Amino acid sequence: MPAIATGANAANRDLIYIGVSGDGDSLSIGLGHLCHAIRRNLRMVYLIENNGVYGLTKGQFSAAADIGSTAKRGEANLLAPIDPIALGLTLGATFLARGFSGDKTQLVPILKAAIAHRGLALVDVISPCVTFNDHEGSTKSYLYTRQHELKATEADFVPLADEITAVIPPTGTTTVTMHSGDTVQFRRVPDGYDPTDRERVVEYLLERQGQGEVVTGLLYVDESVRDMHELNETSKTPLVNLPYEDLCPGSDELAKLLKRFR
Amino acid sequence: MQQLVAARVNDCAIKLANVNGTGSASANSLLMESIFKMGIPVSGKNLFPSNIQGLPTWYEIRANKSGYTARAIDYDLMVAMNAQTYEADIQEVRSGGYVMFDSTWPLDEVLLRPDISLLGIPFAAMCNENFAGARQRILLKNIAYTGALVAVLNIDFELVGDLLTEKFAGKEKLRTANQVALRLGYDYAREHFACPLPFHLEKMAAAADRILIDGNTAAALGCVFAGATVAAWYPITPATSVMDAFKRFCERYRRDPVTGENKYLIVQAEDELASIGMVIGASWSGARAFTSTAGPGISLMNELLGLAYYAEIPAVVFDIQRTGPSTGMPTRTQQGDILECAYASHGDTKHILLFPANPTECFEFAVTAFDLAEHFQTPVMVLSDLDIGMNDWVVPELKWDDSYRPDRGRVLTVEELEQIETFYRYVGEGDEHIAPRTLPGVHPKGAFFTRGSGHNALGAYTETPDEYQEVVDRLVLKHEAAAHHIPSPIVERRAGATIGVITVGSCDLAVREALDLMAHPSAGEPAIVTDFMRIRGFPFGQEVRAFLDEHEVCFVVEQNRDGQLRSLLILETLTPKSKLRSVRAYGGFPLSASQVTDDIREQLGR
Repeated sequence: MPAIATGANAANRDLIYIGVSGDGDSLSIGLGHLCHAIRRNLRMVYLIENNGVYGLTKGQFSAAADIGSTAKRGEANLLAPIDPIALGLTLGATFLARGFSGDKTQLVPILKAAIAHRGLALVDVISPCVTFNDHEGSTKSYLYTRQHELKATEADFVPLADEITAVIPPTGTTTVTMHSGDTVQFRRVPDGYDPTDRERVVEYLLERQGQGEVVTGLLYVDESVRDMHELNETSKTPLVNLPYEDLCPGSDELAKLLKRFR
Repeated sequence: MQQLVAARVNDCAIKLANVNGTGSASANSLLMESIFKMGIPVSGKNLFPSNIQGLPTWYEIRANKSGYTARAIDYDLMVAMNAQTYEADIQEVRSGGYVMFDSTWPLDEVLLRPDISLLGIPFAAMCNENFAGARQRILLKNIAYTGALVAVLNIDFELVGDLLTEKFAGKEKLRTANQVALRLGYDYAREHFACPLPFHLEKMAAAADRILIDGNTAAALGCVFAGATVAAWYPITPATSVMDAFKRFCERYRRDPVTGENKYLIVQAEDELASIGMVIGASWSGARAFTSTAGPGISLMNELLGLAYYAEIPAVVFDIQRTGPSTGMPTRTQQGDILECAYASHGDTKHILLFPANPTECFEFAVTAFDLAEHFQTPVMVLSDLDIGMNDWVVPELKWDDSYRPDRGRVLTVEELEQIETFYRYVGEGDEHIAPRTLPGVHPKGAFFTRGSGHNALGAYTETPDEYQEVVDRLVLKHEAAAHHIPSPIVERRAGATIGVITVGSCDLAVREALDLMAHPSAGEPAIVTDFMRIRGFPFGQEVRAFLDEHEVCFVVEQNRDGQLRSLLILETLTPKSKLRSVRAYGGFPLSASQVTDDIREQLGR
């Protein structure tokens, strides 16, 4: 998915790209592509609907399953999980958030901020599979998530236009101004937590996850990194809109060039 | 010195045996370029190992006034600079030929042959005496043997000197050292041997419009002229130089001189799955996008090629074929991907293939490939190979018609979308059964769900047999319609011929030479007169079928073990199997005429 999105975005930088995938694709067969889309800071929202299982093939563990989490038929997962947020932090991701499909209030502003982000916004959404992974013993069930969720941050997305018209004063402890001019205003972050400080975020997440907590919220954001097109210095006009006459050097240039091949 | 060979002007084959990583490549191409600049038809084949340093490497130069420049395997002169391969190298020289070697050390007597002449030159001693530093001594030994060859072959000394000057412009020290080394070899040869040798070179009235270019550079140039803006690739021999060249050309032609903005984007992908995915994404958005790869890359791209075929998204792929299967021999040539590309991906798929035979066609077919891919909304694979892609070829100057405009295919405009009630993605039109497409972001009415899962003509998900079949049956008709747009085969008929010889791609020159040799054999051999057809694309058109029908027997000459072109002809035409005989050379080196004549004569028993 991110490879195709990369091509589409390469051709037309004016559109908004939202990719929806699961943990099965994103953390296994498509893991390499996710990693490299992150590295390129491709401007897109990458949503992982994370349920810890392969549902369509009837409930095999995905790479997101926690050690000890049990399948519907009772067997326990023995392999360490891949945490997309921790992965993103090591790869230089510029926007990392975790939400819960049972909490729209938290998720909506995260998605708005993700769309406004310049670069790849990775949003890991715990989305329990009501058929194959919502039982006792699962660590991706509604009940487990509700019991173990730690809303680390609470944030509002304030579009630039609203801010100007309504002049909403910053309400929270931290405000991050997006490259677009929009702002994310954090109403609450843990003591000493700075969503722009990678090292501190890594430390905090490891600590909380060690306690068995599912940390949610907009966890990390860095608006200073250039996206794929800025790194490439691509034309502001989307490539797909450049007229052919601008692209073909023409016969005179060919003749000139070929003198070097004579 | 005894002269055993007849005097010949502008007709000789030279082989240079070197150690990889010693700088011989630039000396060898210098020689080749000098001969080209003397106006003589020439080819240079680099037979190199998949290794950075240490393994044997060879370079073959064939100069031929009549234009027979396929690989020759009868060498008049061997430059034996690699002690590891002396023994085998010396055996390859034709009787009456010459071996030039480094006489700093005595040549082992067991290596001597009574029927050849030795040209011993103390290259190592010469370089040790005149230059400092181990690396420089090794590098300049190559230029010293170049100098000696200039003398014995009568290459224009001044011309070679000028080329060196050009090459080392601004690097005065290097330039001087190279000129000294060239002179050392040249003077030694002039002093010690009867120069020139009986076979040698003389300036010819050069065809004014000839250029020296490799196929990968020409293909990249074709992509620039075709208006490609997005390229994605994963490094692989022998395709890497396509993208290197594309990047160079884009830096030259596609960077806005005022803003510095780039009118292109090249992504070095993480693997070939990603690179074809990026090409599909960009083409889906309406850009001309391509990737370059080799067989192992095609293997990885299979799944997404199926997506592009079924979802009807254009994609252009250059497959610079190398020797497979698996890793195979990455630096050796082959035509082993024909069947894989024709039917790439699981399920029923058929793709459009183009088979260039030389750099000119790499340039032209690059443009054709984009037109076909967009016209038929499907992947098009251009099957070049290592021989065409990485070796320098003498070809007529590439031409460009400024009136060319890309065929963007049936893409609905805003106005068209305004006028229709509802857009359905997979409803075919007319004789070509192409379904108009829309580009994302153009108009809300053009929005649809692009899916690789089962879909009906309306673009909706389906698991209903009739609805599924309606779409895949249209794809077959669309593929058949493409036959009218594929470059037609090159056919040459000769009076009295009953046998047909069919070939493809880089076999071209060797097969043509072979047919001439069989039609005009040396004394004692019966003449065999044959018609010739070189296939340039798939699906096969009427002309291919007609040629097959016209001949009782056809030989299919190709460079793979299994006779893949022959198989494709049997599968895709009504030609009986018994009619098509196979001539195959697949060891990894470019084809030579004698391989073809020997095989055909043997099969015919004459």
